[in-house]
Amino acid sequence: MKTSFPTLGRAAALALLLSVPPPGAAAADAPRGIDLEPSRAFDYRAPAPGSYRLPDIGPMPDGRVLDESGARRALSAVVDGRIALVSFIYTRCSDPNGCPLATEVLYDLYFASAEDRRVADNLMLVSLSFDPRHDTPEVMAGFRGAPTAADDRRSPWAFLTTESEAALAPLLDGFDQVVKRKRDAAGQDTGIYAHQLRVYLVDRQRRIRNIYGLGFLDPRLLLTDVLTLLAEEGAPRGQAE
Amino acid sequence: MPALRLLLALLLWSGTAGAADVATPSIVTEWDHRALARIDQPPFGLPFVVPQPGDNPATVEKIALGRKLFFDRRLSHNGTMSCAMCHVPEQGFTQHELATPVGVEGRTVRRNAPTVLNVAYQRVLFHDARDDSLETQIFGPLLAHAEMANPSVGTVLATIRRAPDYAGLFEAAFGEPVNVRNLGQAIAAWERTLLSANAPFDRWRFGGERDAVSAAVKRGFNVFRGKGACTACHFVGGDDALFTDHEVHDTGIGFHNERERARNRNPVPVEIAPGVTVPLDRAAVEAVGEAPQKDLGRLEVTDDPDDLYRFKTPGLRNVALTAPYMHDGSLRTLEAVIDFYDRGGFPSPNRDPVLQPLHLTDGEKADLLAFLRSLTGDNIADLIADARSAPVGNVTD
Amino acid sequence: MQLSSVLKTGRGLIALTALGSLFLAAAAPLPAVADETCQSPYMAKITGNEEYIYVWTLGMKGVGDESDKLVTLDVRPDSATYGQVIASLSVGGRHEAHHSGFTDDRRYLWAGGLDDSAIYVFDVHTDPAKPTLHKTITNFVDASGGVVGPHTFYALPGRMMISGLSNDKDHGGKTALVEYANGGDHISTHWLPDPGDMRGAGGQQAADGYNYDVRVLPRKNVMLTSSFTGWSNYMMDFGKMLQDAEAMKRFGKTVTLWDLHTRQPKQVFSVPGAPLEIRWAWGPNHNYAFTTTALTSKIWLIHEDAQGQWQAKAVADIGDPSKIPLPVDISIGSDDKTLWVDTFMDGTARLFDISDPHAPKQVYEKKIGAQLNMVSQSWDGKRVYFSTSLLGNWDKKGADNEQFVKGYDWDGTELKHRFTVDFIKEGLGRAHLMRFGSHSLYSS
Repeated sequence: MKTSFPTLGRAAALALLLSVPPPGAAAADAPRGIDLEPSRAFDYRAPAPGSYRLPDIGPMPDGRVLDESGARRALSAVVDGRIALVSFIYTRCSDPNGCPLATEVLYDLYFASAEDRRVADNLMLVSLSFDPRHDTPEVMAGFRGAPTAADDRRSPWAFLTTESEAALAPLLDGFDQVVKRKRDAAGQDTGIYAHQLRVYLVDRQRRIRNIYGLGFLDPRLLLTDVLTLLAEEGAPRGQAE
Repeated sequence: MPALRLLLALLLWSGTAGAADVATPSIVTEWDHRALARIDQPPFGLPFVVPQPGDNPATVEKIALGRKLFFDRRLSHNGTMSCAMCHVPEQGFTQHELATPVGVEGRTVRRNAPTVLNVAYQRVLFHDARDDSLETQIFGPLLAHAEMANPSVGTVLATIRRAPDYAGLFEAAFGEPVNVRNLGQAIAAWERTLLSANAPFDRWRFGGERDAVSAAVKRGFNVFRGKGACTACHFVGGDDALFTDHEVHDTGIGFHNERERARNRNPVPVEIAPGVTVPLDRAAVEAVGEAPQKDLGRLEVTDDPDDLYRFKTPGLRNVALTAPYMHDGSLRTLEAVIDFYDRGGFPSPNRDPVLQPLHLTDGEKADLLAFLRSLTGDNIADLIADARSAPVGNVTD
Repeated sequence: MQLSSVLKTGRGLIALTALGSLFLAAAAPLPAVADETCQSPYMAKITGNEEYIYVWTLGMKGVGDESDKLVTLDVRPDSATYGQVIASLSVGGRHEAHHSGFTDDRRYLWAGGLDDSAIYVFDVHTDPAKPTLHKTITNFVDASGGVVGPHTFYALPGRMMISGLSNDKDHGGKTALVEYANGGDHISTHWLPDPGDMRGAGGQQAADGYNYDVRVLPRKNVMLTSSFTGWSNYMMDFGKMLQDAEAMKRFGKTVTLWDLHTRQPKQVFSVPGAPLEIRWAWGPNHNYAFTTTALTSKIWLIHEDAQGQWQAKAVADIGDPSKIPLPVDISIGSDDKTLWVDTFMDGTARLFDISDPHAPKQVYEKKIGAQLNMVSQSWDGKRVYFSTSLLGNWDKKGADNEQFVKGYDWDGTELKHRFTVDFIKEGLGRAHLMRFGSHSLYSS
């Protein structure tokens, strides 16, 4: 079963229309296009972009990936000098606290980018499958859904996979992303993966600047972090962490 | 004049720095030239000539190297203790936070850490006066099981040889690789520069500045050299003062504290929160405590029964910065020290007869305290900055 | 493909409970989980009975090889070696082994030495019954910019938050939080606010710059740290220290509230008497944490009040504080109704009813041994494990220096003894922190 973005887009658009920006929160650098109100899961006011510094956690690994068209590319070329949010997923994942959660949060960013040119112009979203045997470029393209006219106003979103588990391995290793195929009692592959949910924030120099997991995937924080990296680029460099 | 000399030194140094051989890394900075200048012209109130052994005249290279060694925690058995962990610059180059220090693995050191300030003038070192040279003194703490706990001198030398950040430094300072001799010489060279005087007392007493000290200080000095008879051991010269006779004495404190420790069964007052003290059953304290170790003072060096509980007379310069006091850190404040001597020390079979009850008035005690507080040198912040110009040496691999 | 159904539920689904299966991505019904209750909640959890206990053990003079070691105990109920040592891995030398913590993917156990600040990273996933040494980090002090004494290892996504206890300048209590990537590289260092540099936090009068534990509540974007004492004190002979009035002045008296995301300290609370372990409540609406003060023997509540302000207050005494029973480890029940409190001096485990967090009441106590430090309980609260060692030079001397791990069943009214491992008789050393392991974490 495939799910196309237009469907999802409408649901999210409705959600956005219903959300009211908090009074007095319209500072020039404030995040836009996203509900800033505390929620039950994230019951706090998100910090202001640029009011803190994100440390350098390490280099983003590079590796060979396949884009939705099946073209072979380096991950670094896909990211193309943009700030990136990289999410490891597999399309058959059915754990609500797993890949769908990560994709939902990326979707929040995707939608918010339509409201803020800074984000649309500078952020790249990446969903990278760790199930290359099932998630072929064709499956990833289907997962993405048909492009729409609105996509042009939003951050680009790449749905990537790899040629093989061998091609995938250095990426998983470099990101320290653990995945393990689950087998049933008879030792047969179940098609299900055990995995540690992670989303990575990568800056333009391809340095990992934040890692989000379950409990930390607040879309406001992801957007705030992206804006913080943009603010850092505007500010003089050299302040050591 | 010192400023001019310093300027000259800096000019000379900067002039040669560019031509330095790239293969010989230099860690010499402005701090080393200023330190060397202190030895050439010590702060006012100290004897004009800083004693230096003929075979170890100070140089900026030695001073820089000595400072680096002093702050290097790798020079202990497990990389935790440097000299500076017990001689903390911000704590008077001694240690305020403990009566007596702890060494490698938390082992108990029996004696209070003495200050390194003005150590250049000390004729004898350690509370029991067991060494007479800064160049050799360092091997005491380096090898003491309860202090830096190195299993051998060779281990220390090997540690330094292995550390890439020492490459070329001994060669630059001594013309030879590190060895047992130049290791002591380097550390001694920097320690010798930790000179601090030109205290208010110096400017008044030796400089003739009438207003450099208060009337209380002047009265306190009269108590010090008069009714208090403190100068019997804490000598004051006509042109300078070190406030020590470089001798050992029994003030009764060793005898008294050892005896009390053995027989006192009273609860131990324990401060469990600021201002909140509870008496804790002594058995509970003993359940978690090791057996006490005796300290026999100078006798441990000489085996002479007359030396039982004799400890060295410390200098009093910067004494306001070096709490707690006495060889075992058992007196926490200068007020307590004054009360102790007012009592004539503690009774002891071997007590020095110079100690007698003084019957000081409260006013005289206050004056004496004011005097002791006038002995703080004017360059302490500078010496702390000098000390902290060296990075702390830690394990890097 | 169930993406659409997820999206329809929107952000509500992100609301997660600590009971959620974090590691297993299967949609299958969740088995009852039985993990220990004091781990980072954002970490893979054991489903079913814990199989192994990893005991980070201090080397002890005169015992075995005198070296620190990771000892593995078998606690599989049906195992022939239940309640016995099945593996012991010595790291060589004594480093003041103290606490340990798993990475978020629970494949590695980081274990620290408070003396020389060595960190040992054990592989516990390749063979959970027989951990191996994966990596040793010896340059923690250098890399962190002078932090000494890595204490708590708290898992955050992809990284470890480590609380330091001291520093390399004076071995006093001024210290920092240090972040490491799971791979073993230093990320950043965050110094605790002290009166000289509050780093933007309130509470200057209380601040001391000290640290001990670190625990986070991402749902409120907050992090708490507590405060103990510096290297000189925690390494010192306990009896010597109790008699040293200068040393006793150097104990922590603060709990600090941080902005978790920005790592900025927000408020320093006055909590005198060395507050040690911190435990957040689990409930999705429970905005509070407990800590206990070692010297003043009190339970403190750190809570968000009705106005949204965070507060700290003492809510109960532990034993007779005038005797300094020295509360050390605590363990909170997964239902937020009970809190185990171990007191070192009298070797006693106490259970407090904390269903009203503002008024804990002791409901049970049992003497476990001559001395007692750590307590770990299974997620369902039915199994409770105790160990003895506090610090190498703080443990009792002579015959009272019992060193063991004891396992008990808790039926709601009584601790029933199951097994004892005598760590001296077994030639192991001083038993300290216990962490649970299981094969089930790494296979279906």
